[in-house]
Order: sequence, then C-alpha cells, then structure tokens
Amino acid sequence: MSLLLPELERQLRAAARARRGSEQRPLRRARLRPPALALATALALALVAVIVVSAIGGGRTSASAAALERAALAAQRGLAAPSLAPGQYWYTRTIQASTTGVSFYGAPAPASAPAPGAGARLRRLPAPALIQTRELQEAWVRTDGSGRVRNVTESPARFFGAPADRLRWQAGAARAPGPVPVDETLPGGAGYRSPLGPLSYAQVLALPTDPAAMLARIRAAALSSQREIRRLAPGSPLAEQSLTQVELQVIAGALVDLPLTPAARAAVYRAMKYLPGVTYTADVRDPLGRRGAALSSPGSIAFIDASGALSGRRRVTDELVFDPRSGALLAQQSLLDQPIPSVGLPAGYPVQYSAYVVSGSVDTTAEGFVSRTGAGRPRLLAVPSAPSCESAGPPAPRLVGAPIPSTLLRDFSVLRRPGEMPAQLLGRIAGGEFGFELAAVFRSSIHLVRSTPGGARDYMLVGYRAAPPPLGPRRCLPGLSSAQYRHDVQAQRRARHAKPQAVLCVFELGGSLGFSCLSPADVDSIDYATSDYGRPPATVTGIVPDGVAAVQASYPDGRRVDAPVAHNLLIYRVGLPAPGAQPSAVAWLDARGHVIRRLRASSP
Amino acid sequence: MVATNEPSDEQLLVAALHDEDAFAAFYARFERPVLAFFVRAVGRGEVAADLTAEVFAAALDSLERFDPALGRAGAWLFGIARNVLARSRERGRVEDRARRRMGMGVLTLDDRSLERIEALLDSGDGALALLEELPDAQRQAIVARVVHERDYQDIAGELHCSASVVRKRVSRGLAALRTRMQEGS
Repeated sequence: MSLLLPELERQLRAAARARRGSEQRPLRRARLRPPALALATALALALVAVIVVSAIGGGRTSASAAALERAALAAQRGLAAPSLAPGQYWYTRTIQASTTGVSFYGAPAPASAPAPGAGARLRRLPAPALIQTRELQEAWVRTDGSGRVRNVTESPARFFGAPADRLRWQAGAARAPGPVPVDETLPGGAGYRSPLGPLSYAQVLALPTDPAAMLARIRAAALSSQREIRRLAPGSPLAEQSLTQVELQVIAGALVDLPLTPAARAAVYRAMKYLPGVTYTADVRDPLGRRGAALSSPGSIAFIDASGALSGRRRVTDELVFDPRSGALLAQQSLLDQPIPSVGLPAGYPVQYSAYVVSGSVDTTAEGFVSRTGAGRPRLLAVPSAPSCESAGPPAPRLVGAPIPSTLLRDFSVLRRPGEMPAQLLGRIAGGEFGFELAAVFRSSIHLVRSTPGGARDYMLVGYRAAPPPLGPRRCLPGLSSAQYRHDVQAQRRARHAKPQAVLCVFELGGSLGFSCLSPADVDSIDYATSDYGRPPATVTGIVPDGVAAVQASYPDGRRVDAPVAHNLLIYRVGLPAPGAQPSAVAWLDARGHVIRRLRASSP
Repeated sequence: MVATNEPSDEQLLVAALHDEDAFAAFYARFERPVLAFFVRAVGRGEVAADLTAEVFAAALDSLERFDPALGRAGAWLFGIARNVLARSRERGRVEDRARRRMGMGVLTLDDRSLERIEALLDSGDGALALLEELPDAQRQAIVARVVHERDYQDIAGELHCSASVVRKRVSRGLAALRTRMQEGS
C-alpha cells in the first residue's frame, strides 16, 4: 500500500537522521528512579501522621542498623559531601546503564551502500541482540537552579544468542557513529529536581533532620509516585513494585540529586533503618567495582519481547549500595538472579544500574569534583561490559566461474537460461553483503526472474552456503557452560569440514523481499520466506522445481490462495500479518491444474 | 527457505532510536490509522495531514520516553495524537511545536493527496486505529470475529478460552470502540 504522505515520510527520515547525529539528549533515568513528581502538599501532610506510627514499628537487624548509623555519623561529619556555599554549584556525576533493550537487526548500513528496502535490512539480520545503553551524566546546579548538564550516551555492550549473530552485528557496528556529547545550559528558577519534588535551595535546607519525619517525607513521595505510576501504567512491572522498592529509589534520588545538609543526609540513613522487607549485605561491589554495603529487595525486570528467550520478566535483586565509612551513596543496581544463556548474560550481572561516581560542591561549571575523602578520583573505565570479542566478520563471497552443479540445473529450468551480470548486484556481492549466507556465488547462475512496477527486481542465484564463522574464545560466551561450548566448537568444526552445500537463493534489489536461500534437499518442505513489516498483506516467496505451474496454499483459518509460478519462483500476497503468513499446507499444480503433490508444514 | 520474524510495533520504535528505516517503517504502519483518526476528528484533509505530521514529529522527538514494558506502541502513538488534537483545539490552530523542534518544513499537498486522505473518512480505518488501543484479548477477539468473520467456537479454540468468553470480549471491545469513536468525534 503506497504512502499517502510520502513527503512527510521524507521529512521524518531527514529529522531522524539529524536527530541521530545529536541524539544524546538527557535520557530518562531508566526505571531505577520514579519520575520526579510534584507532591500534593496536603496529601503529603495527611500521610505523615499515619506513617510515623508504622515507621517506628519497623526496625532492622543490629548489623544493618550499625552500618546505617555509621554511614549517618560519617554523613553528619560532612564526609559524604560538604555543604554548598552561596554561588557554588552542586555537581553530580552519574553513570546509568540498562541492558534490557532487545534489538533484532544490525547496525546502520554504510552510507555509501545503495539503500536497500527497509524490509531487506531487517530481514538480513533477524537475530535478536540484547543491547546495553550507557549514559554518563554530569550536572552542575547552582542554588538559584541555574547550571549545566552534560550527557554522553553510548551503546557499549551487546549480548547475542549465537556467536555468528555477534559477528553480524560487529560487521555493521564498526561503521556506526560513535557517542556524541550533548551540553545544555540550565536557566535559573527550576530548582533541584529529585523524587522528593522540584525543590528550591531554601526548601532543600528546610528538609527534616529527624529520622521519623524524613521517613514520612520519603514515604509520602514514594506513595505519590507509586499511585501516579499505577494510574499511568496499570499492570506494568513498574506499577507492581513494592512500596519499599520505590522508597529505596526516592532515597537514592534524595541523596544524589539534592545538596542535603549533613544533618538531613544523616537523617536519610537513619530513616533507612525502618524500611520493612529489605535484606542487608555487609560486603558488595558496585558496578564500578567499589566496595560497600547494600540494602536489597527482590524485584523483576521486563525485557523487550523480541524472542522467546527474552520474553517476560526475570527475577532480579535490587540493591542500594552505600559506603558506611563515608556515608556516600555508591549505586543502585538490579542484579540478575539467574543467568540467561540464550543471550550470554551471567547470573549476578547488573542489567540496570545507576552508579553515583561522585557528588559535591564546585565553583564553576568547568570543573568536576574530586572526592575529598581521600579515595581520589574514581576510575570511570571499570564499567561492566561485554568481553571484547571483536572480529572482522566473514569474507565476501567469491564469484566463481565453475559450472552450476548439475542437480540444480536438472531441477530448475531458470538456471538453464543464459545468465546475466547486473553490475549493481555484483557490487553488492563483492561488498560482502551475503557473506554470512554464502561462501561463493556461481557467476553464471544470476538470473533476473521478476521486475515490479515499483522498480524492484528479483534475482535467483546459486551459491555455496557459508560455513559458520569462528565461535570466538570461551570468554566471549559467558552464558555458555563448558560442555555447551565444547559441543558448539565440535559442531562448528564438523560444519567447516563438511562438503560445501549448493543452495538456490532469491534476492530482491530495490524492494523489501530481502534475501533467502533454499537447499535442494528441502525443496519439498514448506518454509517460505515472508516479508513486509507485520501488517497484512504479507508477501510470501518460495522456490519450486520444474513442472510446478502453480501452487495452492492453504491456511489454518480456511483461506486458500492460488499463486502462479514463473521461473521457479513463487510469489503471492496474503491478507495476514507476516508472522502468520506461512501456509499450513500446499498443493503443487501442473499446467493443467492437476495436483501433482501435496505438502504439509512440519510445524503449523 | 528461512522465514523471518517481523518486528513488532514496539520493536520498531526501539530500533528507531538508532535507525531511520525503522522509524520510516513505523510511520508506514501507522500513517493511515493516524490520518483516519484526524480526518474523522476534524473533517479536513489538510488539517489532518498537518496534525499527523505533528504527531509523528512528536513521537520521533520523544522516542526515548517510549517504554515497551509499559504499553503498546499504538496506544502510545494515539495518546500523542489525542494530546495534539486537544492542544490544537485549545489554541485554535494546529500545534507545530514538535515539527519546529525537529526542523521539519511545511507539507505541500496536492488535490489528489487531499482526496485520498479525505477518502479515509469512509474507509473504516479510524475504527481499526482505535482497535490498537484495546487490550490484547479484546483486540484479538474483535479482529478474528469482525474483521476475519470467523465463528466464535473457532476463535475460542485459538485463544484457548470458551466461546462465551470470546462473545464477552467482542461485545466489551465493541462497546469500548464505540465510546472511543464518540470521544474522538
């Protein structure tokens, strides 16, 4: 179906391109923090009386209470952060990362390549990859609310189910643009933004120093935030977080984003003694490798559903990591409880985290803050990422002058016609485009089999299937057990030494059908390629041997599609979304319309 | 032959953060439903086109804010569409903030394009667009029953529930659609 506003599509593409160039706008703070919500003051006051009673009813084990008291005392002495003087900026440096986004296709194609149809690009790299996005944010906020924010966002790590998928990604990713920093000036008057609400400096100074009152303030903000999330996104994982989880997020925001007085900071730590349902761990590491103590609670994380392996939620442990010696908050992190072998994520991996590198007062927006507790400048590079497993990717298929294998010549008359040498297609082959699928292409096998009014051209060609690319060292596949790894290495070795297998492929130039191949051994299986993005109608493509003049495809819902065959190529459209466009049964018809063979799909 | 799993609307939006093709594909999927929604709301093709441009510009501008964990892409996009419509009505002119922010120019439309857009008024695409906003269970039941005209027993088998549950989902979904269509007009 053609677009009604093609000009708008062009404008949006241009805007998307421009946006990608400068895309590093301040990111939302993933899910580790609730949105900073303005508090309904009356509501907050109404809640206070109720909360104080329940708060004092709590109480922690002596170890955690002692650690929190130690942190409170250190904070009170000003070790965590010094007070802000008039005219100074509150400086924070935070690294946030999230590894829950699934991408299912490769990085952008090189700018010089002829633009393939959008479908072609997605079809060529269909394997899901789990992407880590990481943002370094620095903020300088003065007592009048003015200041500067600087962000650098990057996608440093990706996790793949199969090593070949990693190689596919890397082949494209090497050409992707690097991170771009974005710098913004904050106008005055906005105040300090935190989960406790936007607060002026005077309001920050007036925050309670009594632990019970501070807890009441935290709980009111958490309840308000929870209510708002449940209203906006009922049933979502965020909405199902416990009140304690939300409270831990409010606490983190207060400790990091606000220039709290030492007494208020101490009150926050003492308030934490009364949080119900949290577990205390004396010795943990934060994502930057720093040692601290943690309060944790069980949680779950939703992955974007791009493959069966990642659909649904995974159990995590949400931790708030602090340094009892200095009273500094180090990080919030969500650690995977179980590994996800299908994408190589080990148990204990911080799938989401905010690491608070440093916060404190500085005199100018040109300067960063160096910790005054003697620990020195924290190392910024020790952020967990995928092991470095760079690879050059597979070589381009060789163009070979040998005759086409006789079995294929016998069964597919299209190959017996004189071949063609379309420069554009040869250029794409030489450019390495089919390297993952094919090791070689028979020069004489390239045949134009269809042209569309829209300018797309479909070619058939014969090649040898490419052997799987090298698996890579063991450390590149943290999710695989040793036994699995050995098994995969052996399987790969067998595949590399197996006799090369000739396949018949169809490729569409200038359209969205992409590239798919058929082995002669599978000619009577129904496993057709489907195209177009999910919306009906889908285009179904198949290759059939000589003697089949038409195909009658049947669907589970009772519909039937009669499709003609030309040059061994079967193409038809069906009013179903692409994933369901595979027929459940097919009848091959001869030129007189008689059924010569009936096939059923092996997995309907 | 290798069959391909086509990306969902949500996956396209996530991919669009880094790839203009993915956003273009998302646009191609939702162009007609959004245009139809606005044509029904304002009755004029050129205004509908401008509002549509603003919606997609706003969507592009706030891609980071889309969280697949929190809801469907269609519902998110139509949430933007409702806001754009409401703000435009409040101000008495078509909202263009997002387009200006994204540096997008003015759309030029010829008579043929306008005719094709206004033809959406009668095409029923508006109802299909609103379908995107229904809960999954209701949407599947309505698509199976009303769009594909399958019988209740058959749908019940596919959705692993009883025929009476399918009837309830269809009737509730249709009632919700009617309410939304009245809201939109």
